[in-house]
Amino acid sequence: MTDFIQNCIDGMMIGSGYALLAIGFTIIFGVMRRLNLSYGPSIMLGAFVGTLLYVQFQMQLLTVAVATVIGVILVGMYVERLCFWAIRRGAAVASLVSSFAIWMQLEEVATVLLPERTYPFPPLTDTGLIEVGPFFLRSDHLIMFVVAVVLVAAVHTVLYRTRFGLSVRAVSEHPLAARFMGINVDAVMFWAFALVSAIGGVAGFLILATDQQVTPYFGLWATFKGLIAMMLGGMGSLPGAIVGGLLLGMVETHSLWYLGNDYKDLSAYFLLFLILVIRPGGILGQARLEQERAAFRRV
Amino acid sequence: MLTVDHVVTAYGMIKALKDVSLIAESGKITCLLGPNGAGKTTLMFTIAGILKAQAGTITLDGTDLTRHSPVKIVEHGLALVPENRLVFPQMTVRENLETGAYSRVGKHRKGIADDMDRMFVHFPPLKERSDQLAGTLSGGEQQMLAIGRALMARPRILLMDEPSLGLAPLIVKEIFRVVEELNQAGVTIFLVEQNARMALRVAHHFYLLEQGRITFSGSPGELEEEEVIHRAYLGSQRD
Repeated sequence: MTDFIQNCIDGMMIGSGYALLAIGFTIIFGVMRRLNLSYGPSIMLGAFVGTLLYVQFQMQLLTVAVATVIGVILVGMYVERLCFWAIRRGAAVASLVSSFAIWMQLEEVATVLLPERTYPFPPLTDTGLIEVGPFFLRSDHLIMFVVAVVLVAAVHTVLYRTRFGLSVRAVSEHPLAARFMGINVDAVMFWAFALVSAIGGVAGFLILATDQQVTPYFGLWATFKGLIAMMLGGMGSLPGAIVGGLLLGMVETHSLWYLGNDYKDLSAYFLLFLILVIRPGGILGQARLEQERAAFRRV
Repeated sequence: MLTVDHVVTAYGMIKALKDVSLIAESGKITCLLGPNGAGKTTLMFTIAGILKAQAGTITLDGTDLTRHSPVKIVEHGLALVPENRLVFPQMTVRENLETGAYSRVGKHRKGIADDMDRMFVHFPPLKERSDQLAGTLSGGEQQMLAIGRALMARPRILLMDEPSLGLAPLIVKEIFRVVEELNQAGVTIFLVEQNARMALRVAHHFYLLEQGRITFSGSPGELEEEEVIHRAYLGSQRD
């Protein structure tokens, strides 16, 4: 029982990072009804900028963090202009394909920037484990979890309490109706991208700082985890991204503990398979899916 | 006063509006009637700036709106109640009204709150449901919400695209009562309808649009109602 709870705790800590990645995918999907495959690679490239400062110039943790976030935002804006804004009137699949092409490009840039495979990333803290009764908490995981909670609260406030948030939600629900209200849809999409990139930057920094290393494959990893977590919870749903992220983290730690490393990813994919068969819209996305179907029937 | 002057709008090679001119006078209800595919919604989209006119000009109270973005056009005082209502289903009634005042949100908090209270007086069902998601409202309530949302922009002119579409006859009556009431309160209304009988009852002036051209302009009564209805549903080709 202690093991089970310990696994749940670890899973939630790791899952908080996944949740942040999923939020990035879900906001972009909500606003544009498009997938940004190069979200993970943009985070990776931003992190490489941070790593460069750490390895070459021995910069402090905070500087690395700021550089990572700014790096991701800049890369994100580049991706938005190229893959989304430029073909905003075209088919959604064109954005998907070009975001895959940009992924390759970003990986190449990263290897030019830092040609070796693996680089160290600064640790979040020197403290190791914190004991709470019979359980152990990794202090860096705890920091990641707390920052994730604060960030989710901040995103929620932005979306539900500000004028910008109102426009983001209006565009997510009906872009044409949003235009009739005098909302500049292109501008909303651009700033939503910037917001999402900033979240991705923080997520990437936290995850890499707990791993203490970065490779060009982090892009692939982050896109996978974020997409799976989003699909589990429900595409376009903010609570869904959080539920999906935490669930993915817990399934991974449980299967790692009970079944071994070989089954860790396999169980995650199996869970995704199950959810998509039982509830194709994801755990919290079913209602939205049905509503959109109904809307199509109405028109 | 909204003036549409020799406007041409095309989808690719196909001209949907061929030289359309009309006037919606301030303080009046002007109706545009016509069959499906005549170009009514195209005209609405062109006036709102979603579609760009190939030729001609659109002016509102003397300001040229023709080449402006929808954002500028809304800011200039033109609000639209779209066909099929298009409320934001996952947002509450209150939030929907807020999106209508989007160009003022954050600047005139007090004014928006006052306007919202006024909408609740105009449309009592919305007040009861102010914190309910708009997707859970009935068709008639959604139509009221769409009208309220457009009014939140404090428009100089209110454009309505087929407000009776898909509603039960009693609700249609209620919507047209609202239209008249708003007009008596001083709102200029430009109404596009297929329900000619109801539209003729409230209109001060009406136009017939057939196959992208204005084919009649006059007051209700100038043309026999049966003929208007016939042409509004089927166009003027008769056997």
